[in-house]
Amino acid sequence: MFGEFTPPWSSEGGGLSLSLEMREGHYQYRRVLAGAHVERSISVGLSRLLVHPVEPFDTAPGIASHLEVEFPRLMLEPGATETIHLTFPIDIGVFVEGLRETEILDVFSVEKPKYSLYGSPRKGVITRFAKSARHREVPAVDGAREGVLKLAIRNSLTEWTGVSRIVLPGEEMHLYVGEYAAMLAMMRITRRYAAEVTGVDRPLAGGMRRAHDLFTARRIHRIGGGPHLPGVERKGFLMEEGFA
Amino acid sequence: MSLNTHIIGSMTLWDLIVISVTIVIAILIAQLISVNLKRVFAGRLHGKDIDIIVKILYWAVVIAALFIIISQLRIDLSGLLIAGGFLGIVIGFATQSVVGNLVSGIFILTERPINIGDEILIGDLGGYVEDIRVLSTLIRTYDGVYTRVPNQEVFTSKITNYVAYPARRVEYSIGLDYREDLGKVRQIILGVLAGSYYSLVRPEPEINVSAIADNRIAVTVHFWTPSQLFTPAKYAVLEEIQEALARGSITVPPPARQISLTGGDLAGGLSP
Repeated sequence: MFGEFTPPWSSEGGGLSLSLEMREGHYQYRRVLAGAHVERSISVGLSRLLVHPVEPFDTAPGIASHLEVEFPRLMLEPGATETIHLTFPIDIGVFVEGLRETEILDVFSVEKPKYSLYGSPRKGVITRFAKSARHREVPAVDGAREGVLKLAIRNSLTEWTGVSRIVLPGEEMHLYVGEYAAMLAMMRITRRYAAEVTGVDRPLAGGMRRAHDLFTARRIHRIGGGPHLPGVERKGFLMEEGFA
Repeated sequence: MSLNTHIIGSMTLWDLIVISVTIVIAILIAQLISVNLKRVFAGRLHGKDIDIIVKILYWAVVIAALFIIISQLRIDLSGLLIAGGFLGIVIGFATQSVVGNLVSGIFILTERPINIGDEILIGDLGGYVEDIRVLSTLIRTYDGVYTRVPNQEVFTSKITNYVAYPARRVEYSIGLDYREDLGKVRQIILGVLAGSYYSLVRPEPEINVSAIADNRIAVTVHFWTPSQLFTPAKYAVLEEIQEALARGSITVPPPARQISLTGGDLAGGLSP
């Protein structure tokens, strides 16, 4: 369902229906999901419609800016590096490409979002929460609902440690898209209860393209700078409130 | 030529050097203050408000430099100081509240107990912070009324910021019939919270028996929600719980009183 489409266009499956057709001199975008529908009229200047997975934070803007995935506990021996695959929720972004600019038309989540608090109620962060099975290989996923996170975990401690969750900030999510959305991340356990998490800006598999970076684009627009700007150092995220 | 050589009237070369150095240092300090204040307040205050503060401090530095220069020129300022003192008292009284609001505004902007967009309660006034200006703070009350609160009042009032922390706890007390299965009730409510958009996964929700009252058991439900969603969460989840309990045939008992009359003639006692 992801890609660039020229009108008229429609897609249907898994309880979700998207369409773009000419009606009364305007393009009419229509989304039907779980009985609810959204409609938008677009001027004829539209040349393409882009349907991309985006970071799962826009269905409730301003609530969460981090993704948290909980998975079955993995024990790592001192110095070991383990690579696992997890699934994570995605939002779907629909963009209109005009003659000059691309604009977001609709963002939605097929799954009902669930949130959690990472850290204390005083200093923690609200996360978009998901549970995932732990996979050795890339799992089969429903592309409209979830993506694949390939996570490399390194235990830098001198003792065994258990890991059962990852928290990744939006600016570290580098989404790539093919049949499904995917991203890469690294987690380095540096202290008993702390780990450094960094997103890796590379595709999971050949043929995947960079998805529209909605979260980062909005942040750059809002604060006039951002982690992807040249010369701005990217620091990753420090999970100081534990990872087990 | 020595430093004591008179150049103009009683002004010596040394006086000229001191005056020149004072002017240069004053200009440098004033510029430094201007640049740094603009940087500190950029994004926190309107450009107009920043300009006012910068100008006030700029002229304060210039006036201080002027006094140094006058004293260097050995001009007798005693008469001027007396007049200036009186003028200062008059101006001080007249601008007391303005200065108070200005200083409070600067403290609010540096201490940051509130930010634009926050849901707050200042004294008895609740609403959303629309703007923080140099002399006043603008509040949009819950019923949509524009209210301007002087910064001195904001600063000296008790401030409650509902969104200062990322999450808040919602609490309900639900009355149940004594015959209800508490395990089933707990399961139903936890099921609602697990599926709810509003209830956070962590901290985990809690359900406890909080009172054994005369005609009911009181069960207290606690769950956490993102601070911005507190109000809709409070109403939406309660409705979901009520619907789920009704589906599970859990009854909430109506208030009941058992009255026992002892002794006397009941029929006679009730007759008019």
